[in-house]
Amino acid sequence: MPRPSSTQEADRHFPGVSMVHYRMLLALTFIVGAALLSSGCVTAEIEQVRHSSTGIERGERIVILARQHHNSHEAENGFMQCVGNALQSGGRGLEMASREDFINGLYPWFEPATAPLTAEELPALLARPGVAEQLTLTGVRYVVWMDGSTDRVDGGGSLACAISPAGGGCFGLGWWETDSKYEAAIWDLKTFDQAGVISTDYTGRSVVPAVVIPIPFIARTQANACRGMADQLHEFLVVGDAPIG
Amino acid sequence: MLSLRLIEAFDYDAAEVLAQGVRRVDVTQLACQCGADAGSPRGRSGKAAMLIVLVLTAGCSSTGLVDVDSSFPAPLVESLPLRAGVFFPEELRAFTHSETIPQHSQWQFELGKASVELFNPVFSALFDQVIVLEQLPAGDQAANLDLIVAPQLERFEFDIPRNRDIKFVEVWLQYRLYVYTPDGTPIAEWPVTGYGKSQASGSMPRDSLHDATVRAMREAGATISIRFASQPDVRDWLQEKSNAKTIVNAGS
Repeated sequence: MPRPSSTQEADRHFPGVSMVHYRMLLALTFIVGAALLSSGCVTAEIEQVRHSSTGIERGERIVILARQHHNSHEAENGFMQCVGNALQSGGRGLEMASREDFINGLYPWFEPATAPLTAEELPALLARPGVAEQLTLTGVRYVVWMDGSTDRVDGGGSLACAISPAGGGCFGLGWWETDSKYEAAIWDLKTFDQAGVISTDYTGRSVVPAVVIPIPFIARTQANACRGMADQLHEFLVVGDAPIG
Repeated sequence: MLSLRLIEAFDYDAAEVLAQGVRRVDVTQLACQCGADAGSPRGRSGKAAMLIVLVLTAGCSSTGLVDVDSSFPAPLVESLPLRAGVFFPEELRAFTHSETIPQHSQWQFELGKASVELFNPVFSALFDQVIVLEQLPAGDQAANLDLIVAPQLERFEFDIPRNRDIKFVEVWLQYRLYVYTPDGTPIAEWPVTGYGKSQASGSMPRDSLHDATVRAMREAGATISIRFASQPDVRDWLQEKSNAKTIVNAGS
């Protein structure tokens, strides 16, 4: 029995579709399938180290500050905002202090060059004239020092686009890997110590296949890291009687 | 035909643009990556292609103005029991810095007004009494003052990312504080530096440069408010002044 030609096969499955278009559809299906299998994969590593008991009472607030003394990286404003919003919103109800107001009110003691690097420096800072009073005014109980960033760690592939009076389109496949690595050190201003450290590391691969139209599959590592960090911080601060260690 | 070789050895930024939709395309960024060969336009499609070429190439050489406009907080420091006259020279009040980054962009920074905005709260917190002087006093016109401070902005440098591995714009500046006795005798001359960095956004990171400049100025202000009294020349002068006061008090 003679085997049907590609044209016949195209006509059978998609009446009226030419062979070229049929092959393009097949290629698109294959690329999208491959992309779906390989993208959106985000792996996570979370660590929590507790040095002392925590807990938060009504009227006590939290401020999230970025460690700014590194030349190579700094936690993105968007990430800090995301974590703050996640802690504040929903049923969590933690009270956040404005980062800008906190730093301005305590200027010049929380600038990148002058901010305390360890919790042991807190008593000396609070002994300076006006600092303890200003801290009381802010209502801040916990300072969360956020360090880290989201970086592209690898990438490859090729994607080209063309535009002409007759139309345009793209063809190819590109991919890249991102790593969202953050560490939050939590200082308790009531006890002048570092209550603990939470670190999160989310890596993921994004893929953009294109047959005429590029279809991006983005691994949102930073958004995932934000949710993961906020969940951990909430648990750390609210569930204060968790085992120490 | 206009061929846009978006991604060869895949370009993360371009893919992010695709992911976020056409409305967020940074025209300047794309323009600098594309090779445009307009050919001969035909009819409406040809005009549309030409328009796209013009839009895409419009951002390749541009000038950015960074007019630093910010309010600065008053430092939380213990004030010195001194009556200070503060003089802002015209060079400081009208300070601008222009620089061209070859094959990239031109920048102009205006820092005069912001510098005055920075120093006003710093000196007000640092000294018990502050009088802003319109000009440097001659003779004994300033006999009611203990000292006169005149800041100058003498150096300004910046850098913007020119490859994708660098994510920050950086600003470095140096003020010089001239401190005189009321009769004009120099007490100290103190260079104070400030450094600021900010996450870069797009190929013309105007807001990032503004943010980095403000951070650099804040750092300089922080240094002045914390370390002014411990500068060797100022410390010696304060010591002499304190000794003289003790002698006068003992004599009376």
